[in-house]
Amino acid sequence: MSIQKQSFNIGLVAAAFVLAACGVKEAKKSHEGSLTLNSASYLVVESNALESASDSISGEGSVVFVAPLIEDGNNFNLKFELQDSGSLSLIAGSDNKLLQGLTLTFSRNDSVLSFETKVGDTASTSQDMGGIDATKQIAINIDVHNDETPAHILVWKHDSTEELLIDTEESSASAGNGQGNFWGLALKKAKVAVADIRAATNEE
Amino acid sequence: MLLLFSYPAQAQEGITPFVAVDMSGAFKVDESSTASDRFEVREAEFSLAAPVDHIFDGMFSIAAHSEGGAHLFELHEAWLSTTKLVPRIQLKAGQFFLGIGRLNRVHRHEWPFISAPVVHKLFFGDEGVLDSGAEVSSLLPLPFFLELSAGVTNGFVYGHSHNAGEKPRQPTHYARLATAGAALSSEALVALNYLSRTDIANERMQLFGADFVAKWAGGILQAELWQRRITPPAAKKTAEQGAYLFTGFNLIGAIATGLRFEHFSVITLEDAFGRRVNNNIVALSPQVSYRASEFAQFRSGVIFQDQTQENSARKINRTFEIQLVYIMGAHPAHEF
Repeated sequence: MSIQKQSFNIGLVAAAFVLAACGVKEAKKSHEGSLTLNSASYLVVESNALESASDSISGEGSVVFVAPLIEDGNNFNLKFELQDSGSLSLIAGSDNKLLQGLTLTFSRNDSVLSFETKVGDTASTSQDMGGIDATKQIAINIDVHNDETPAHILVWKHDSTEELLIDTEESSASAGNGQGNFWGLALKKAKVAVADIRAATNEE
Repeated sequence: MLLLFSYPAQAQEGITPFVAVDMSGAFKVDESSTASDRFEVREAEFSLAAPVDHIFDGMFSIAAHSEGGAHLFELHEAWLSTTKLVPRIQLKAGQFFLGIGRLNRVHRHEWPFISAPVVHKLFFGDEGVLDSGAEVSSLLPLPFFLELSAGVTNGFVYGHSHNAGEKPRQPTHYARLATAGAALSSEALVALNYLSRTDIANERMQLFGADFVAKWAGGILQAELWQRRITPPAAKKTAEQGAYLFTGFNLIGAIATGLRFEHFSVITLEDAFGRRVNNNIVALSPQVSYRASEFAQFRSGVIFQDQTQENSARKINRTFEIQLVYIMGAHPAHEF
């Protein structure tokens, strides 16, 4: 290869590094008017009887997390407890008022945990989640692939087994897609200790 | 399935069957990586291409992709084309990768790198957008190369889907204008692209893009720049933009190296307060290849990805990738 072409290639690589340096910015400032759970800022959307602490949210009400979703596929890590006939809903892909989202609801009836999804007025059939004792703290990982139609949802136990509990492709339990880019929680007789988010796991 | 593997006693002349196998693995270099830590057959493709008669050419391919640990065969492409009905015009109908962009028009095992750039993954999926419809391409009667392509496809789904989708308000439609010539002592092709679709919920998606490729003895320079605008019926419009630039060149003998730079950002991202949120995904991916022939090659590389979003934790993702591709049979001529 000629020196001219080698120099051109080296110049491209150098330009790539310069562009990379210019493109990366990081600002650290707190959100005034917001609360935090595990350092993630959130706003209260509805508060019937909601109690907020730095390490938990409990009671009844709903919250939206301040940071928007970038990815169409996200993995949510939840650790929560439910009182009998309590529920926790994860609302994914909503607007900042938790509207137009895909709602995943985990409900407790005695020791049984059930799962259903809802988009607007369209709800999936509720299904019991075997392998989960709803009387104890529940730790699960949830993938929501909102780039598929309908959204593809997978739920795993968040323990050493990582047992797959729900796959909406198998159970046709996905009611549709969220239209926005926020996410939040709706609590009813529930206590949430962990709610964080990362990129969805790669299916392929 | 067995019928596909047996030929009649007097086979149609000119049938070129080929098999392409693309094996790849992605492994975490750090805990934040979402790599699967698995090496597997990512795709196995069986294809037949042949003249159907004196007017039409046909292409048929099935491919098995790994999904959830299982390999499922499905129809990949099946189309009929002709350049003999109307002068300077190619007509194509069937199921095919939409003739838009650079990577979307080329089968993944022919890509110059292992995995899709961020912008392609988000706008076109891990491989590309397939649909059924018709496409027209015309080499315009000008003293220089200028090709105009346009297509319309069903648009019931766009991207990866496991169901039949729903009839959109506007089907997927696209156009591409490409010109070619000599640049920097190489052959180069540059094109402008547009795609749009309005789904059943009246959400309109528009893609605007440019692609560029230049090749010279022992080297390639390839880039794509895309912007996607989504207009929901009752919410704010969103806009995202991304690009990649790849350069590769021979080092010595059959060994080549390459480097891909990428950038992606959601231009209209706002937080729950309605304030603009600065966000960037930047990635740099060096790679090295061993190309025994055009039928077999091995590639490995690392992706260094840095994702930042105002008031969110920075995510640095490093993934090691390997790929092995081999082709058996007579592969049709590659795209430029």
